[in-house]
Amino acid sequence: MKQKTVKANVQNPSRRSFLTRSLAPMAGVAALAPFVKTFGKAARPELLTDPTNLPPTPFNFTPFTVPLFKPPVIQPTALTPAPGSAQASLGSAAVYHGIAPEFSKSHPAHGADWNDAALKTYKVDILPTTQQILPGVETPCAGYNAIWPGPTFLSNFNEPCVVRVTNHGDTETSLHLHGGHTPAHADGHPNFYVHPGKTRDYYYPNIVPREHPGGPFDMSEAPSTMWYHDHGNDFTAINAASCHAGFHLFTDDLEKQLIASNVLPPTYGDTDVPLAFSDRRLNADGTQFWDPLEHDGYLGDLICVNGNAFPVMKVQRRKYRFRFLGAALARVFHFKMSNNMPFLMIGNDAWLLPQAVGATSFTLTPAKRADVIIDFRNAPKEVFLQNAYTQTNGRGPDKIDLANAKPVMKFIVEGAPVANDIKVAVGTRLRPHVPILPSEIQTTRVFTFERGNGVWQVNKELWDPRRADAQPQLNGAERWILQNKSGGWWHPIHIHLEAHQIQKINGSRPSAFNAAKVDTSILEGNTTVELFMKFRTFTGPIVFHCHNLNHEDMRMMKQFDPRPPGSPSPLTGQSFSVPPEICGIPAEELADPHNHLFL
Amino acid sequence: MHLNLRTFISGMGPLFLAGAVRAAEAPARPAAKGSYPRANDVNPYLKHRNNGLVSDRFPDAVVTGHDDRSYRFYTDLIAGKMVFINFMYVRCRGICAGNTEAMCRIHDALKPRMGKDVFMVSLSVDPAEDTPEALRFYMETREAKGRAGWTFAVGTPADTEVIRRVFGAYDPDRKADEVVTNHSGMLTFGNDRNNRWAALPTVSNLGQVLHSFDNITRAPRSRYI
Repeated sequence: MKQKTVKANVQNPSRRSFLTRSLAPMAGVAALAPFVKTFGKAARPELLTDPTNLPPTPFNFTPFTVPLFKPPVIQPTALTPAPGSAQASLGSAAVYHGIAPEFSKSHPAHGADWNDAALKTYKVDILPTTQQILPGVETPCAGYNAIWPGPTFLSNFNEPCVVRVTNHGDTETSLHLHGGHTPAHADGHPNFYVHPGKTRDYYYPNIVPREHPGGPFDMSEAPSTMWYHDHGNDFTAINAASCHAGFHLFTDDLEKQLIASNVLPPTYGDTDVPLAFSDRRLNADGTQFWDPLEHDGYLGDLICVNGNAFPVMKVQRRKYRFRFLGAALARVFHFKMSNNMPFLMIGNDAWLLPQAVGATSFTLTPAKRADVIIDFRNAPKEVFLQNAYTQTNGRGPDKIDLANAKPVMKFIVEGAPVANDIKVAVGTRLRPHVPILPSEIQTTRVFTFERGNGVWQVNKELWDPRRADAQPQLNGAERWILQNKSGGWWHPIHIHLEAHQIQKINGSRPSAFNAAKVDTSILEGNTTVELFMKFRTFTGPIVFHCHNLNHEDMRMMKQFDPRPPGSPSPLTGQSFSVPPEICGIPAEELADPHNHLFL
Repeated sequence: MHLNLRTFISGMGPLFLAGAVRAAEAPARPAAKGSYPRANDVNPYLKHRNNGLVSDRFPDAVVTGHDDRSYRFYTDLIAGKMVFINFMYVRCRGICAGNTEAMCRIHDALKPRMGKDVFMVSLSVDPAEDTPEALRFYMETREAKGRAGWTFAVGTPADTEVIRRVFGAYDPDRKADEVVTNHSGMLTFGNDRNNRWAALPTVSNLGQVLHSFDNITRAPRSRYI
């Protein structure tokens, strides 16, 4: 269904022999040797970017033969019982975890201008399946609707949707719409689970924050490139490794106008292509190598794009819009083209930039998105996308080596230059940016990320789902200073709810690419990021955390709870006090007689 | 020159029990030479089992328990069990007291199961100093004495290094790792039968730890790894 199966030349040494070999002195290098030579004459042994000393994936394959997989668009489905109905309410057999209270028109956060009539409903099943990460090798995994990446959502501004997620897997899960502006119930809080065998209705109003309370929507906040992924405590990393990720693309009138005027290509047409980058490592039986005792960061030796290692894509001589997504657990990429032709950066994370900017290379950490135009008009017949970052452990990348960048994906460029190509170019105006002004800032908070005795701490505290670590004023604005004092460790910090605006990185103004809106700020080793952020529309609890998923599972996380003045958060740290309708966990389960089995 | 705890305990027992002990300078680990190896490189036990389990990597080193008995670390203390595992040392003036206190509260909560299907292992990271006698002293002063299913243990320095690495209880920054006071405050837990393992800071709130333990140990064996 996804792609043609390519006949593979599969070696099948026992896993044991590989593990044994890795014991040899210089194990990392020695054990790579059989893998390297399998590439043969046309092979690219330099594909093996990183001499970690984990057992290498023990399969022969020819890279750049599997066509890039483009996930299908999910189609709306009628849901029975209807979302919000009594039969689909919290604790019901059909939808055990219920739906966000904001779904109700009578909820105070539900705006009169929310377009309820345009509601679309979808069904997503988390299903066991297999994936050919390498051609001919079936790797067991679980996927959203049994594919990886999961099906792509195409949403329009103010066309709400309900996604009914049923967990057919065997571990708890939670679904986060990354870059979305969603109610707490639907935000994928790590404790707001979908239990195995149960169902939750995720309600996405698909609105944007307002310019001021009661005012018009702030369309500068309309996202473009969101993604959805697992967010459940304890299992986030292994679930991500089991292929829980997909794209959710969003358009509004402004972006439609850019498309209509041929500045940008049609959303998710032939020339708007998602690229989810991750890394995997296989065992000899085709399963994934997974070490649950690895808390620094998972690194694979196969770079996957949309679920296949080292794919190839045929392109025409024209501009393409690529939605780059850092879907790896811990690997940091630094991309360049093999012929050094430039990228045109049009968006950072979920949002289009105010103006397109050029770049010859760029960094993509876990969770980050880069909305990028590549112009193949004058490209050679074959050109590679390369990764210039070397990385040997989960602490962070080692160095950018542009001269020895390793190919991760091949483009075969065909035909003559295409007429009437899209017009976006350096300086093209895209989405106007409305900066948060210093005069709007009500509070400054400092969050210091540290490693102490092998565990992650933020402001010397551990994660506690019972405690609101910040209570910003609902619809207010704050200055947050994120300090990384954990030595050389990298932490991409993702703040849920809405975009934030980077003011300074280590005291300096950010580049044009980073100066507008992001949802994930990269804290490189010993870096301080100062940002402005608003906390609009929805009360919490809402989390922010490191998106190195191994760090996230070790609870490198905090939460905030935006509240109106005079209405403090119930999350005082004493007990788990999130109301059942917000967390989607029925009261009887929360009221465990031992008062500790839930949280 | 630092104090030898072994001599200290045997010679000054009463004083020691009265709590008058002062921690000597933190014992320094021998500096390893060459590149800093990761767990799989330094684990001479790696090839011993091939059951397709994460615990195949757990060394089956012989360790000595607080009860003076010898245990094989994997076979006797972990195989087929649900286990909490942490790292400590008797002279620790930092996180160990809090961690052990947190483990006592976990033990309280799971008391009916302790020693039956749930077990705890606290392994010393100061094998040069921590005798079984010192471990018993520690247990007594830290409310850990007489608790079912909880073994304090000490191995050889070399085995301790391997075990620590395999459990990810080390700092990839070698300089930081060589300072024993930086030792890991992680609590690793899992169910060997279902091949599920996870870790949390030991002093995370109790409900969080118990919920995660429940999650991890109940989950069936993964089909995906």
